[in-house]
This record gives sequence, C-alpha cells and structure tokens, in this order.
Amino acid sequence: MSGRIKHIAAGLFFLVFGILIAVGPKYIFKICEQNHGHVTNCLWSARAELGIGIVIALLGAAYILSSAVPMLAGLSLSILFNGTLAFLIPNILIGMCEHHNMDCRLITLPSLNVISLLVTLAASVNTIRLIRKYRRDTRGNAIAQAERI
Amino acid sequence: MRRLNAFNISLQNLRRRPFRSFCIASFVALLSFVLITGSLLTFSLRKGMSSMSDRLGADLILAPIGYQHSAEGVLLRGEPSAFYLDMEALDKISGVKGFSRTSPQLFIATMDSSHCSFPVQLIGYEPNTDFVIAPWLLGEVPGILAFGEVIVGSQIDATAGDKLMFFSSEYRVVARLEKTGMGFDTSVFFNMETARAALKEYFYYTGEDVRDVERAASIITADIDEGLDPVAFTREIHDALRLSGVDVIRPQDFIGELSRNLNLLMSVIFTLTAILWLLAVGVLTVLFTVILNERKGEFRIYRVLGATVGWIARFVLLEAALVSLFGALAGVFAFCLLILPFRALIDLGMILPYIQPRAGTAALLIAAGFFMSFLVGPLASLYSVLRIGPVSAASVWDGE
Repeated sequence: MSGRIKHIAAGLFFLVFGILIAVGPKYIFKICEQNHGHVTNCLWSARAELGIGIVIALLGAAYILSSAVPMLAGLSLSILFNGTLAFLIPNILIGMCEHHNMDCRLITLPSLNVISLLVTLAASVNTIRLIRKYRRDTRGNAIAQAERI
Repeated sequence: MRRLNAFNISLQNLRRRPFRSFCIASFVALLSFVLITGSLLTFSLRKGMSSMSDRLGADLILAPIGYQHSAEGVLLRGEPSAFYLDMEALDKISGVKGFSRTSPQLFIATMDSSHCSFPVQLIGYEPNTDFVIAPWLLGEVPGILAFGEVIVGSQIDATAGDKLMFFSSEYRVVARLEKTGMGFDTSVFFNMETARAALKEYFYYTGEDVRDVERAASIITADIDEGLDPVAFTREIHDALRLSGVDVIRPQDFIGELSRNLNLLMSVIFTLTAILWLLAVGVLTVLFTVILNERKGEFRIYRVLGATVGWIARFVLLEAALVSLFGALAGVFAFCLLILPFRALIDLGMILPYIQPRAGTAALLIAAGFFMSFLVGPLASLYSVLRIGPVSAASVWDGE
C-alpha cells in the first residue's frame, strides 16, 4: 500500500469510528429507553461519548487533510487519548445501568468497548509508526546535511 | 543490523509478499475463528441440554388441555404464562391410580414492564411434596422457603437480601440460582403459600379468576409407580382424564425432540468445521506447492550460499508456521472482539438450552481452536517440503 493511501485509510478509519462512537449509542447500538422521568447513567455516558466521538471524527478529518509527519503523529496521539477516554467513560468514569441485563449493558457497552479499543489500538500503532518514521527522516536529513558540508 | 537466520529471512519473505501472506493468514484466521466459535457453541449447547435433562425429572406433567406449548415455554424458555387446571380435573387426577407421587406447581406471569428487559415468570411449588424443583433448589438455600421469601433465577438482577416487588407486595430474595440454560433462569420461585397470595394480587390486576384460589395449580408433576410402562400408562390416563380438560405431557418427549434437534445442529456444526479444516489443509497444500515451485531458483541460491537441504526444508516449514501463527492469532483476536464482548447478549437471545463454559474451560477451547488452525500451515507445507528433494547448487550454474 502506498504511503498516501495508508494515510487516507488511517484518517478515514478514525473519522468513521469517531462518528460511530458519537451516534452509535443514540441510533445504532442504543442505550436503555428513558421512562417515567427517570434518567439512567447510560444516558450521561452516551452524551459524553457524543462529544468524544465528534472530537475523534474531527481529528480523523484533520488527519486526512494534514501531511507533515510531526503533525500527523500529534493528531494520532490525540486520537489515542480520546479513544482511551471513550473506553473509560462507560466503564469507569460515568458507567452504565447497574443491572447486567439492561440493553445498555448487553449491546451498547460491548459495542463501545470494541470500537474504542480498536481506535486506541490503531492510534497507538499509528503513532509509533509515525514517530519512528519522523526519527528516520530526521536522521536521514541530518546525514544528508553532514555529507553536503 | 538483523542476523541473517532462517527466522529473519522468513519474516522478510512474508513482508516482501504482503498480499500473498495476507491471503493465507486470513484463510487461517477464518478457520481459527470458526473453530473456536463452533466449539464454544457446541460445548454450551451440550452443557445446557445435560442441565435440562437433569432438572426436568418428572415422569409426567398434567396441564390444562391446549396449554402444552405454554407449559413447555415456561419450563424450557421461561416464557411467562398463566393458566390453571379446573377444580374437577384436580379431583379426577387425585383419583387416578398408578401415580407414586404428585405435586402441584403454580405459574404466574408478571405484567409487561418497560423497566424489565425481559419478562419474568413466577413459579410456586409445594415444598412438602415437590420432587422436581426442590431437590436442586434446596441445594442453594438452607431449609425450606418461608412465606414472603423467594429464590431468583440467574438472569434476574437481584442478590440475597434484596427486595423484589411483584404486583403490590415485596418479597425477600434468599438465594440466586446458578445458570440452568432453561426457563428457570428468568423465573422466581415461591413456596405455594406465597405464590397463592401473589396469585390473588394477579387476579386483582388482571380481572381473571379461578373458583378456588387456595387449591389453584397450573400443572401437576407426577411420577408413576415402578414397573409401569410410561407409554402405556400415559395412554391409559389420557383415556381416564378424557373430557376433564387435562392434557398429559411426557417431559422426555419434548426433551427428546429438543435433544434430537440439538444433536442434529451440533452434527452440522461439527461436519462444517471438519470440512472447512480439511479444505484449508487442501487449499494451502496446493498453494504452497505452487509457491515453492516458483521459488526453486531462490532455494538454489541458498544452496550456493552454503545452506543444506535440511535447512531449506526447515526454512519453508518455518515460513508456513509463521504465516499460520499470525492467522491463528488474528482469528483469536477476531473472536475476542466480535463474540466475547457480546456473550451475555448471545446467552439471553438463545432460545435453546445454553450454558456458557467457565473461564478456564473457555480458555482451553480457545487454545485448542488456535492450535488446530495453527497446525494447518505446517501440515499443508509438509507435502511441498518433501517434494523439494535434493536441490543441486551446481544447477544454478547450468542456467536453470
């Protein structure tokens, strides 16, 4: 795969998965229905995920539009942190409904876990790859400069 | 700088041909995924079936006529139902000779509620006469259930000490059952006294009624005298209870039918998995043979560089093992990603008796699936390795 295609594929991956994190709990792998004016934890988690998902999607779009390796590494690192946050919110920071047979625990939580873990994993691998590439390029440039001198 | 040994050269070879390596690894990954999922599914169904056979111990079940499927639904799948035997029928049943023991059970269906993600069946049983539920139920709690106490199935979200409200009364949970893989998982158990009190409330809310709440029963579980032929006896009491509105059900019939269907399903899963495994070995054998034919020149260069035929054979096997290892690992990863997080949903959605294995057993099954799919690569390349034969270094200079 050429570098350009790899770059666009990675950006698209983050964009699509960011959108999934944002809208999934509301429209695809839905949280529990809110009845009788009683608001459950999963609603707050879904709202937080909406915000984080949008941020990941925007970072993914920025990733597609950028080309400088240090910038890409920075964007990838931010996606890694946001992906981790997307995982922590429904599991630890806010949580889901208490009962293990509720829809949010059966469908929403595992779906969010899978997506956020994939985003985090992909962002980690991508960040390491970009940092190594940056170091290699810098070393190559330094050698070329030294040879010129 | 990396050392130029067989392992590093194999890795470089795989990286140099990413599409080919990806295709072979994907094939092994698919195999690994199917093997692991299939074995876990088969194991869980078998465990569920054996749990059900152990727990539906009555020879016969007497239910109101037309409610055979409802009774099966309650016992096998926990589908809430409420139906009651006629008082005349109860009198007639008590007059039938040939039963060694009988015990009533009372089914009460909870109302639909948006709070519950699934409906709950309330089951009342008579602790003094019961021989179906009590033996394994009482293993969970010391002593007999008192008035107002309940035992809940494994899928009810409550633990000992919690209070549950049904209709307008609260009940204290004294124990929670282990998973049974059948309708009991979504059921709540009362003693008959508590159940009849709940039945009165149920009638109050639904407007239904029976003539004598104190004697109401939904089914009668019965064991027959030793020496009697169950089939002949069933036919006999069918005649005796004719026109009394009572249907006679043999649990072994519906267990037997379910067991036959499950065995068929498991055979299909096993056959498909075996075919896939053999197919994988076959396809990869052909693939490796073609690839190795293409690479004869490369092997001759290794010979010129001083490699022995044994080294080349080990090198080819190592390359196949590596690509197989990556594929098998990818299969396990896909399983952990797509199946494992949704196990609770699968569990709840299964209408068949289904009990998932414990973590240790599941790990063993995953390891077995991984190992079986990993074996495919080296096995498939074995034929090609044997065909390499002596590669002459001199043939490189002959212009071959």
